[in-house]
Amino acid sequence: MAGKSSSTPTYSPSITGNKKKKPPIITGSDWVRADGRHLHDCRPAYLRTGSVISASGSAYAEFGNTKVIVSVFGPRESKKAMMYSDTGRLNCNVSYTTFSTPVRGQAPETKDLSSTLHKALEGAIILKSFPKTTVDVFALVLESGGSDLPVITTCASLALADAGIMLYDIITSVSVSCVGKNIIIDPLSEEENYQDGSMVITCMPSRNEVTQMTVTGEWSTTSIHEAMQLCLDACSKLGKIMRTCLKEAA
Amino acid sequence: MKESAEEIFVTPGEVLGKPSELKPGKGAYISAHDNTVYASLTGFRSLTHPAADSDDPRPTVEVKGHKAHGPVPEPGAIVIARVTKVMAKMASADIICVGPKSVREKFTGTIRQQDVRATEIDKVEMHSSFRPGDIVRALVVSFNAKNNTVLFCLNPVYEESSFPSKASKDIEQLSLGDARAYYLSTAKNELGVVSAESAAGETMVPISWTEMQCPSTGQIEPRKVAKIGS
Amino acid sequence: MAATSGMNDLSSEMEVDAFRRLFPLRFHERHLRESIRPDGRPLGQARETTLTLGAVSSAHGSAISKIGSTSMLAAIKMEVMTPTVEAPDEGCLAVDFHMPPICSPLVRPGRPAELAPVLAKQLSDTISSSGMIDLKELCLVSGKAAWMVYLDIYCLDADGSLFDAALLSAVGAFTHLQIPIVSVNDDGRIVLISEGKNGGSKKKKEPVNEEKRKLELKSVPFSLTCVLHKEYILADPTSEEESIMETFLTVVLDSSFQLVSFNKPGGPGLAHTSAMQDCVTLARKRVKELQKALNEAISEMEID
Repeated sequence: MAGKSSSTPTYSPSITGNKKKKPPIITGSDWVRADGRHLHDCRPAYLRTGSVISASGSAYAEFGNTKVIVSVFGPRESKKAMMYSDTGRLNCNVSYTTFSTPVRGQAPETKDLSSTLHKALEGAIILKSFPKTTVDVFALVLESGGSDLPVITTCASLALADAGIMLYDIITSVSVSCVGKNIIIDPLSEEENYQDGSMVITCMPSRNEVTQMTVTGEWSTTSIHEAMQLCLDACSKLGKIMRTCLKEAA
Repeated sequence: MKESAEEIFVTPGEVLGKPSELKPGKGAYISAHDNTVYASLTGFRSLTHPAADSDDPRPTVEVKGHKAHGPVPEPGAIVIARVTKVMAKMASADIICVGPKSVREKFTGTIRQQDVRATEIDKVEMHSSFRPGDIVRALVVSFNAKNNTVLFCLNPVYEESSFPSKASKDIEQLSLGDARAYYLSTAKNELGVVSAESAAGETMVPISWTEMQCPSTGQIEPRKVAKIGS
Repeated sequence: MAATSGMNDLSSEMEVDAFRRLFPLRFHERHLRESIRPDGRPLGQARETTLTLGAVSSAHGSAISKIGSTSMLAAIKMEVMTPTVEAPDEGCLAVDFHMPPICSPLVRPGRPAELAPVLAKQLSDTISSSGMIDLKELCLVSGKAAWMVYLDIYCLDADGSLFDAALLSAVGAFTHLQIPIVSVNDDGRIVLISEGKNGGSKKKKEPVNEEKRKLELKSVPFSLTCVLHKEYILADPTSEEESIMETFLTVVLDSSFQLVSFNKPGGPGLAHTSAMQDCVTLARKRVKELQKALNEAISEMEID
């Protein structure tokens, strides 16, 4: 989308404690990725709030070719006839455009994405601040370029903050792929396709609390540790970019 | 009592101070975890110092001034609602304003027979109190199962329970109406119908507590009329 | 001790915004009598309009249009298909219009907006009857291969005049469209050549359509939706204006001001001949503005 300055910030982690790591066997640490990044470089993170005027709050996130819009509606009347609840409800939905993937109509299954997003956000929202009502978080992936879920989660957190929903903290999410002996951060779709394992960490950066962590595939104990450090460091840097975005919007 | 010179812009999760020095107001909370006061909203940090004779010398910290979400009905709030349906025992109404502010999306309210007026509540005839389309001013009530006392206070402070979701102490069980609707009361002089159209489509003029008159046809219609002004 | 007149006191105790929600028609008519709209526009003026070409790289052509806060993303994907027996030298165009839940508080997941299929049909009819796309141009090998063109338009923010914004984004997407390169493979079938990445290894296949990467847009349709209320005509209504005054009229003209379509989907108000002529006059003025927005988008793209 338009209006982007060339100085879009990025949030690549810097791990000092792990310098002693032996160089990866397969490709070497100077391996350059399809988009020219090094293993531990994140894509520039372009974030903007208030992109959908019809919503209570909204945000647009563009990380490379991963482009997401999230709208937040409410607190509003709960639509489903449910029991009275003295805490608020969170409702999440993720969908993809038909042209988001290289082959038309091959968007991923979104039911579990919606539920994963719900679980990632729930812990950070002060649900008691809107009893009886519902906050709806709707995401549309305009283009799927890899690391979709962490970008959706990050964008959703920004939209919630924009909507004035009370939060314990903002939420940031970063994923890494394990390819052979290498750990690559913020992977592209192509990289996700040939990964041996993946890890997504969602956390509240200023409180140092993880709300969600998903690990799949093959991992060694040492690389799991390294991957966690990478994710947490990138999360905290991404958090700073998000706070700057919120402050600039005001 | 405002300390305006010291306004800092904060975002959710930013540290505001220690509970020994600050009391959290709107947009702030205490984390039991690390005994710290954090911001929960985006906006300007503002400090309000207590009155000189207050027992608690700590200033209250609030976060405000940024875009807020639309207002939500709360117990004790005065709302303006449009009556949508009148039945024998109750009337339904869409809440359109909370206080002076309009809601972004409507909330459904219910006025039960016993909440229409303060006296002779068993003799209330719903169809002689409201008609669909009437605009009413009403109070959002909340009560526990036994009596009609308002328990909830406005602008509650959210103390964090043991995170993530195990509530340490439940706030008293209260009902904000059924699963969806809010219970509304018009049982006060200043509450009731504030604007209504006659059968002829004219805005009627109130002529008593219980009647309004059409200016063009002179026809009188019964209503639970709100007393305006004081 | 009789209660006094409700209305006056009511408006003094609430914000303007609340009065607007309670008595929308009265609020708007009060403005219309002063020949101005709540957002400050004169009745016949459309909102600020922009078009940006090239929004998603996963599509072969895309554009984002904005009219006020109404925002649309249109994208085109092309696939090779076998043409039908009836039209062996023609391609095919499929238009769809989506209203995802992000765009409006009225849309909920799983419950598609009623308006979406209506607009999809209207857009499809307008684009095909305008003659903008010559389906014969979509032919690759007569009787054997032709382009199947999928045009999907997503409403990103719904604030009235959705058709106008959707049509503009579609025009933008066709303007931006780069037809992918295809070649004949060993089995004699026509396949897409993926660009860039592994171009070197596949270069031996001769591309079929290297010189033909752009569609020629014959006549470009532009539209203006108006709301009719009593004697007033409001150009380019917001969603609030649409919800209060329910009679719409959409005029589609091509770039040489020829009438492409005229649509008045019912509504409580009747359009008199003079009102219809007034709408066409407004639409002619609007075509110039839209043509300008399109030209600006093209020149911006050429700079990048």
